[in-house]
Amino acid sequence: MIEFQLDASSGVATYLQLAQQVRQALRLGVLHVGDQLPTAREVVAKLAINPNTVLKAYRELERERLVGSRPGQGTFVLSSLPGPESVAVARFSQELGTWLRKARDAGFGPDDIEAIYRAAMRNCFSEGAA
Amino acid sequence: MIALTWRQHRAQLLTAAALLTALSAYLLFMTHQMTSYMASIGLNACLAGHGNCDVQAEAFLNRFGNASHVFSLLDLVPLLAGLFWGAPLIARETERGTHRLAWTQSVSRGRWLTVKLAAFTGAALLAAAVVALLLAWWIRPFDQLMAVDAGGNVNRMTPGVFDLSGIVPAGGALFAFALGTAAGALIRRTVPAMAVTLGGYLALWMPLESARYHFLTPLATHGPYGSTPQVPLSAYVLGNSYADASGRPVSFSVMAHACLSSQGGQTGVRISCLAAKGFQFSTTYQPDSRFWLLQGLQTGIFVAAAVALLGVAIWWTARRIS
Amino acid sequence: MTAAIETARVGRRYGRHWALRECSLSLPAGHVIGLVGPNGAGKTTLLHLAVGLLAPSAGEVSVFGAPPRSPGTRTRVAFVAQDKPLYPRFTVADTLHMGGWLNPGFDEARATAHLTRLGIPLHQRVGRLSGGQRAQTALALALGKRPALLLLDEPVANLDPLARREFMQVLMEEVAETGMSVVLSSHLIEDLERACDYLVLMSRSRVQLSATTDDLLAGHQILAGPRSHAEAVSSAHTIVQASYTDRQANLLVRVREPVIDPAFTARPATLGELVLAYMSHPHAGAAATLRPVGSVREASR
Repeated sequence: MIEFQLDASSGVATYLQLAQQVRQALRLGVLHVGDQLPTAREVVAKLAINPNTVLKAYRELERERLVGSRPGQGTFVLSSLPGPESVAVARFSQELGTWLRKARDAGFGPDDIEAIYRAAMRNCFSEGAA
Repeated sequence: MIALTWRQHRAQLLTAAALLTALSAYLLFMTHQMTSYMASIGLNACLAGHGNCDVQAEAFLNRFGNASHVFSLLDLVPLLAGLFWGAPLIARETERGTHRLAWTQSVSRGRWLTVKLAAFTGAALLAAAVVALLLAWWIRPFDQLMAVDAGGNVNRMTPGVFDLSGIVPAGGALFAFALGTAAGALIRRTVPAMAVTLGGYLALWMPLESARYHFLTPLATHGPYGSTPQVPLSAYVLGNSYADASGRPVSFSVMAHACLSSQGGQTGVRISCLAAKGFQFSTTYQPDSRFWLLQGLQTGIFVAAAVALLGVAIWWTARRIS
Repeated sequence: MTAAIETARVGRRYGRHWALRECSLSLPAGHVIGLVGPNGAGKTTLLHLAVGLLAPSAGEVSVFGAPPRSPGTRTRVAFVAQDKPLYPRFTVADTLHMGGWLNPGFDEARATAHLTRLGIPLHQRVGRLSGGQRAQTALALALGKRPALLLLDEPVANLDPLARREFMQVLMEEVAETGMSVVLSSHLIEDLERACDYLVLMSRSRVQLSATTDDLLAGHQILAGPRSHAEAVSSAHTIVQASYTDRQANLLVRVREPVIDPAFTARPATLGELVLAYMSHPHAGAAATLRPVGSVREASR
């Protein structure tokens, strides 16, 4: 069962974060076809967010045909996402490591790097979601 | 709602019950003391024998005469219902903000208040009745002495005792409680409401103490100047004055004028002249036979005031408080 | 659908001071509605009018179409006042009993089980509980009558962060399970951001905004760009808040459609930024309800 987390300061809408975490979990193989997603009640009991937000996230995923709801039973994963192969993951991790070392050697501290990273993330992903 | 009333106010009601029990124990103990003393000095036997019991009566009064002070201490007991039950009833809730809890439940404000009022009113009437009965029992020896004109000045017509006999304590308690409740509803803070209750109770009670003896025209009895008129036993004497031969009240100066004479260089008033001209002593009193009538009138005033005040309290709470 | 709370130009005054005036709202059922505004804005007054603790000085208020103090409404509405009043000498168990005595259909067993699960001692006097435990007790008392509408006045104001989180978790879980409507007030938007899907913004005894959070977010944008171009923006859109440096302008604008202006970078405003902007400019948001974006979107579908 996937456990959702919220980044309140990221500026990304909550329902988008939830949907994104589901897609991420599918890619990384944490969620499989047929797995049940937490009920709105379970998510809300932990995150104290509005239940409609959860339903909105699940509707978004339903639109993408990734999940489907069975009335009275819950929401289940319908299809998986082509995840990055472990080779691709390793390659990106290595590239990121190189970049980080370069930045550190150039005198950037962890906070500076974080700021650059966050701005870049926002720009990159809000382009797609707007 | 009844369960809530009990749970919320059981401390107040149990305290009152405890105080009442203590008072009852004290009064019953005193009564026992008095009756056994009466038996031991032969006062009972003497009273039954219709003889002259002055000696025994004096002994008894020497020992227990001061006990009548208990009445002055207890006079304001009905007021307690107003201070400790009435004033905090609504004021405590508004003071602490719990009215925002109590009045947003499914039970209506009106029902909430009326059940509590009924509970406290019942308790107040019951307590007052118990106090009145106990004191009526306690006062019997003094009544017996008065009935044979053997002295003592404690009977049910006298001010201190009248307020704690019969139905007046119940009326007083009801009035005090209603006054406290209305004060609490309007003022919304307990201590100021208690002060107003005290003041308001005294403002009605004190004038009533003397005014009640004039609800019915007092009777008068006359006797020739120089001798004390005969007043029925156990009556409450309101005052003495002078009257002329036909019974009309006269002032002392008029009397003196009529009998002013000079003799041997001294000016004065001859008593024999006053008696000869028919001047009289006059005593006004209320007889014991009017006890229940006067009780009813005073209680009626208390109850009318109580009903009006409870109406104010209920109306104000239901309509106005926020 | 009947509105949960409907007010028609309702007002309440004390002497010459109006604590609330000209308030016309139609709050939909089935939402978690946040009532935000600085202290003294009139939030408590509005809530007290809705539960019948206050009578209006002007206008009307109705809850589910009926007067607040009518018997039907009283059984369907629960209220937790500021500072969560309870009887301090009652035990927790007594408090739940009281719920049963004063409300038909009160589910005492469920409330008791719930508080036990939270670790709250049933036989402890309420006056001795911690702030968080008192808050949970007051909430359990309100939820025990299974209300259709729950009103809360600054429920998390004096709670430590953990107690605050636990309180909101319980509240939101109940919303998820029963679909009840909630109105909660706060002077901090952070408390409400996660939970609310409808916002009423109040300021100086009046309502500034009343809309779903979706409409609010879609209807505002933050534009950052050269100061020289700010004029052009203000002619096309309502600027709620503007801050300028020598050359830069940061504008919070109310929009009907997303702004496409190459001179500006645009991003959605957060609820916190929105609330702060409107609170700093009490005369913005003259319309009591924000509908334009919703209706435009509907028309274009």
